[in-house]
Amino acid sequence: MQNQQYVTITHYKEREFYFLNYAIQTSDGFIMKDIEQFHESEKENFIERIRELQKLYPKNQTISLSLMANQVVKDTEDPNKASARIFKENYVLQDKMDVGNIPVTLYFSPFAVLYEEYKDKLDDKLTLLIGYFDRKLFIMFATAEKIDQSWIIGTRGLSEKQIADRVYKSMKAYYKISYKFADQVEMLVNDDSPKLLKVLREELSMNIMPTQKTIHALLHHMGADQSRFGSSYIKSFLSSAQPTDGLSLADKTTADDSLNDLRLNHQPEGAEELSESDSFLDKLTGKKKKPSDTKKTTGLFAFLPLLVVLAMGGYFTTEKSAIQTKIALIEAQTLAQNNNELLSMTSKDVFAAMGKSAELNKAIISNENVELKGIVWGIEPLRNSLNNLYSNGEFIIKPLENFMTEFSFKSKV
Amino acid sequence: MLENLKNTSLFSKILSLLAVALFALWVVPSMLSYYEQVNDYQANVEEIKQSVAKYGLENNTKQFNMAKFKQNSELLFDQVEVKSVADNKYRVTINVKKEDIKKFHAFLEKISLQYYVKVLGPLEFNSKEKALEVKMTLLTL
Repeated sequence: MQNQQYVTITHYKEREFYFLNYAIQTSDGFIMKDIEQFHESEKENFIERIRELQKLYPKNQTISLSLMANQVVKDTEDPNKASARIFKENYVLQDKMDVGNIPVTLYFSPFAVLYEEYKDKLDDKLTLLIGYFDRKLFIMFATAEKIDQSWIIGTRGLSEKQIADRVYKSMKAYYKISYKFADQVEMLVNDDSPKLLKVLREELSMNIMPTQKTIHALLHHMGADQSRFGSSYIKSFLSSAQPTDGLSLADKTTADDSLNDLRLNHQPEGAEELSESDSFLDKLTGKKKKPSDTKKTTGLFAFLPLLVVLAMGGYFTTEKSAIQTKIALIEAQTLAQNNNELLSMTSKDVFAAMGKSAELNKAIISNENVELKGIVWGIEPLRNSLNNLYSNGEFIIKPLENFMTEFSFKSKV
Repeated sequence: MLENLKNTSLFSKILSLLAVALFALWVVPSMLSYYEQVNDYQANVEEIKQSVAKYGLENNTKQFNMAKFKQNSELLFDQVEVKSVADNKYRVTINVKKEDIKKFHAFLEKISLQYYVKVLGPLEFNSKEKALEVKMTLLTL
């Protein structure tokens, strides 16, 4: 005899473990059973256990949570993407579903869960809703009417202080575009994290009263009532596996589309991490960087200082080489000018020394020494003049046959 | 900033370190050396400018051209001969009237401000009746 109780089966994957739970739904709420844990290497056992529960409780919903980092909240639905409606005007969009061959009938975004948890508290004041699941912060600024802005912050490897700092920076960035600060902050966590709460309170200088609920409890709550999940589960996933009776969904959920999704959508672990680290501005502007783009940009930026340094070094080396050529020329010119002026002065001195006492026949004049030969009329004045110019020079006179006197002078080097 | 550094990949860190090392060991010395040489150059230019101003010339030193040099020198002296000897050397022979020796000295003082040349070796004077034959070797710079 089949068990006709309405049961919600919930599961999700965190790190390398699958967590499975089911709850009996009653008019007074749900009664949770023990949580079962499977390592990812035991995936077949995990799936088998879900099927077992589905057979045991034909009236069931099998519910999971999308913890993908590429979800985004928009004002319009995109027919090419998986979407779930939350609020009147907001849709959570993600490229495709990625549940593989694991049975699922309802698939929720953490944004939908956040909305469901706090929708009664929302009013005209701006509220910052934070959900902390699987080391990701799902954040949205919301009023009772709509979500103004949302984004996801990866926190893997960050300290509590760094996480709080990112939340604060996000608030500041939001203020820059909307000139509004959140009036209150609500935080939904599935693990108790008093340290994170403490630093968040310090960083934001706001009182935060966290709500601690397990993901299973949140999903059981979501699946408890059709009016609750009717519009907020992610639709495209069910488009090929819509239940016929609204509740008994069972194995159709492992339809071909799901398998296709697995093949088409599977992203390597690193790729998801890159998505998590997309900048807030990209989120604000709606631009979604592809991982390859991010890598390329990072690579380019890493090269930028080196390129600048190489350009500067190249510029100064080239300029230095050019100015060295100019310096060599102008220094040679300066040297030549000084040499010529000195040579001219030496020559002037020699001619002045000749005066009216002698006449040059031949002279070799340089800046180092002089050699003179000529006719002298006033021997002593000439000798004195030349000795004044070149002390200890060799002055020789030689009488000529025509009663004239020849002189020669050689300076000592 | 320290946090940013921590979050940077190893590749980026290596590139950044390389950039810093090149900047410190190559760019900065090149830059300092360049500016030092610019100062040297400016000092030399200033010295040449002063000489040019002293002789009332235009600051327009030209590359040596044998024909042009001969043509210009003949405006000053009766006879000028220029012969290329080798390796950018030119043998110049000028006939100067004995009473115009001052003109030759003035010419000698200006020659390197008008052409990129230097007088290589001594001046050789030979008396030729009422003139002096002066021979000198010019080396282009």
